[in-house]
Amino acid sequence: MTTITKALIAGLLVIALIGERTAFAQWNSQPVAVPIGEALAALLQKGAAGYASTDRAWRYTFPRDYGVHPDHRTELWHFSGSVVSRQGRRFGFQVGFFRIGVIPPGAPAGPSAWATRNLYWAQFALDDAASNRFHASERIERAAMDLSGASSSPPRVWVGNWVMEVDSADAPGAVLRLDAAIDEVRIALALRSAKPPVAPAVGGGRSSGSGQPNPFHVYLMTRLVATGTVHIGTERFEVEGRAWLDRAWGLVPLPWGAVVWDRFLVQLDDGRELMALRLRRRDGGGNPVITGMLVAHDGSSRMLDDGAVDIELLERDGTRFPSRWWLRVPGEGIELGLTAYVAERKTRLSMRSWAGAVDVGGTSNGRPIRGNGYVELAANATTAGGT
Amino acid sequence: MWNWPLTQRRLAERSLLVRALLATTSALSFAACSPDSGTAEDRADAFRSPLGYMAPEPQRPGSPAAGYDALVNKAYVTCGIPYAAYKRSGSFPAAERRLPGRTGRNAELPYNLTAHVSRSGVEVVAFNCLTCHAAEFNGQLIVGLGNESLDFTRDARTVAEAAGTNVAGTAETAEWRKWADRMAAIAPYIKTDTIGVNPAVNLTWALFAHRDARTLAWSDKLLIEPPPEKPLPVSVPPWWRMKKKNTMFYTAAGRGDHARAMILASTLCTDSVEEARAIDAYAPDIRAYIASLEPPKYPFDIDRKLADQGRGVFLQHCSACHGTYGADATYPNLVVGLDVVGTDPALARTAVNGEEDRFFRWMAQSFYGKNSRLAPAPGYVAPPLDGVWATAPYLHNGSVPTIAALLESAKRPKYWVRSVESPGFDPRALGWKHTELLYGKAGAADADERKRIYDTTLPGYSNQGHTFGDVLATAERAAVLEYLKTL
Repeated sequence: MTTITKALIAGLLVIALIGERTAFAQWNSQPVAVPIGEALAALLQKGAAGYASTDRAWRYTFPRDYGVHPDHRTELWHFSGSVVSRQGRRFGFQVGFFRIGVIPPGAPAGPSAWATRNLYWAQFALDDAASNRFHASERIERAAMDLSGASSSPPRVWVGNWVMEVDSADAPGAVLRLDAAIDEVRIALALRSAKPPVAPAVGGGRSSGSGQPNPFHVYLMTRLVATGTVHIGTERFEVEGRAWLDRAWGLVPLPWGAVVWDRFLVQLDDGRELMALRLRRRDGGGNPVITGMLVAHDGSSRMLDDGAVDIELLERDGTRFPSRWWLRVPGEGIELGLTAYVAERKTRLSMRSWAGAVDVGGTSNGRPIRGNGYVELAANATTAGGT
Repeated sequence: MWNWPLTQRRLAERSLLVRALLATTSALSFAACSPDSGTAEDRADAFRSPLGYMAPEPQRPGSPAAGYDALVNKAYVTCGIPYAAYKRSGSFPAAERRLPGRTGRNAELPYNLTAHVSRSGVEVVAFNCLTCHAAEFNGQLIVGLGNESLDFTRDARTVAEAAGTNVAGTAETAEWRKWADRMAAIAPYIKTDTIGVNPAVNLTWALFAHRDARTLAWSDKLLIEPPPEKPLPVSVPPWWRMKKKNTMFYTAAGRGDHARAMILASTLCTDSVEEARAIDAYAPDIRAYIASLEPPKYPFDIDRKLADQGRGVFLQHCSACHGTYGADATYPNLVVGLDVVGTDPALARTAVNGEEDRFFRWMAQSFYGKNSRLAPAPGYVAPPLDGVWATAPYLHNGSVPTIAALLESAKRPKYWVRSVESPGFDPRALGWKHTELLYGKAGAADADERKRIYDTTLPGYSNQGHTFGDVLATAERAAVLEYLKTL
């Protein structure tokens, strides 16, 4: 996998953060004192002086690298996935944590108990297919007064009672616990990875002669086996399913630029995963470009050539919401239909972003295949992209 | 859990930005490694050169020192990525990768990027000539050595669009969009199927097709028929040959004023005659710098006695075309016909069979063709061999990985992959360490391997011809190899 892809991957992960943040605020009609996305963007543009660089090779080690890397400017933990109850009720979810360094490790942080070196920004969203409902919320807290924080030993990140931690009772690093709640909705999962992590830099290649360092480190866990519970009001569901973890630290790119991205994550029942990335100009100009990655049963991954993946929006729910897509990789004999669990998003404004779980069904080299997936469309995707 | 070592070799190789900029780069150096420049005549026969001796033509004088400064500091390529976005990507070079004489912002940039402030007030980072015309040998960055490691196998459009993820602000977005739109326009014509080969010729033609020849104004729509989408591969020749050569480019196409033809390297972004004239004003200095370059000295041991023997063999078998070296050096400036040299004919044939005349005509009608002309011959220039040991792979299409194989055609690999080990230089065979394969691109396990395989059975990629070394005895060949180390 190449560095460009690396940049895209981690960048794509983050899209949901800024894009959905804005949307959540609008949907929930909650007054927002400052446009948080813009404020954070301004903050992040201050540069990375005082933080560690990522221009050296990184030896990914677990469970350590589930935990925080406080010497780096920004850091992302992003889980998405689908689970189903014993009664067949389907839920899609995402839980994301984004750390933003405010004061570098070596600089004085000030005497106040409120003083903080980091801000933590978290989001939680749940699709409930049976009730056709979508629940979403976000939090932003300083890492002070125990409002939020993270540690590397044991690996843990939390914002209030939203938590990701490595289960210390189990074999070291074998199980991640994820817990988040919004009002009457809660998800609590144990996650075990069925594959080694996917990280860039695997494979050959020779230097371009330019010797560019890398702005961040990143790895993906493309198949986590999930078990746990979902609460909706007074109902409690024992669930199992699959999740996907995106991790990055360093100067993690954010979708504030002239080009934004959509991401289609697919976990097939035959043990493979497919990721498609679509780059689009925010102003609707140019032509979108699509690239992708296929992860085999054994965890080995390879890039799909430019132009190897085709994405087609089949229909929208009503006039505003995307709900079905074709995802085709002709060179691999893969043709998949993706159908949203819940297309509707409660907003009175134009759609700013869309992220949700999808059912996957189609063919692989002519044989029927099924799976599940998660689709993340960047801001303006439903008007500018989607085809 | 996993303890997962990552070599990150590949990580280090290309950041998003670098890849993005690579495509631009090809635009830069195409002038030096692609076709040519031409005169104002509008008759087809004006776009041809005969075989044989190529006579010198007047060159404008220039200052090598001023030329170096211009080369590494001036904005002859005026579109690229806003500096703010570049900075956000975190891509800064290690100290050892910087070049002396870089001023202002350029002092902190990688050697192959140059910054300038655009008319709209946005600081922009763009590729400079050194993206293709500087490369490492034995751990040293050598200005003028062709960069044979560039990867044009990816869609340049993807690369340019990806770079846009870091671009914010109205003026910055406009600057990025100008660059990205041009990248999108030329992308179909510069995608190679093998890492390392250069699509410079096609790149030049694609840019011509999008510009009005007389005003140089850019057109999003094609103004003349573009080149075919599959570029013919070329190897990037070393700049230090230019001091001896009376023509530029492999097919002798670059005739007349070399400085004028060189600034074709700026045509990705030069949108008016006024802009072209401003660059042309200092182009003679850059040409003078290039013509002042000396090849590097061979950094390893040389068997002087064997080399002396090799000199005799060389004089007998090689000098007629490639000249003599040392105190009384000579260089015959010959273009050798395809029937004699026998190397892959595609590049020369398409240059003289009329397929490219519309581009030669464009050149002749443009500011670039006022003093220079594109007039290829039906053959290839036998190049000077100064520093030839550093310039693998060999032949105009880079189809032969070592000089040993060049001099013994039976040993040329039909399918090969450049070795990724370091150092990659093979001092015995004089060239690249490589692995010979039993299968070509069609037999590759996946796209990644396919891009790395040099497949000499593909059109334009043949390693045929130049079999003049086959008559040598093994000992003679070894002696010539040793002698070439002294050049």
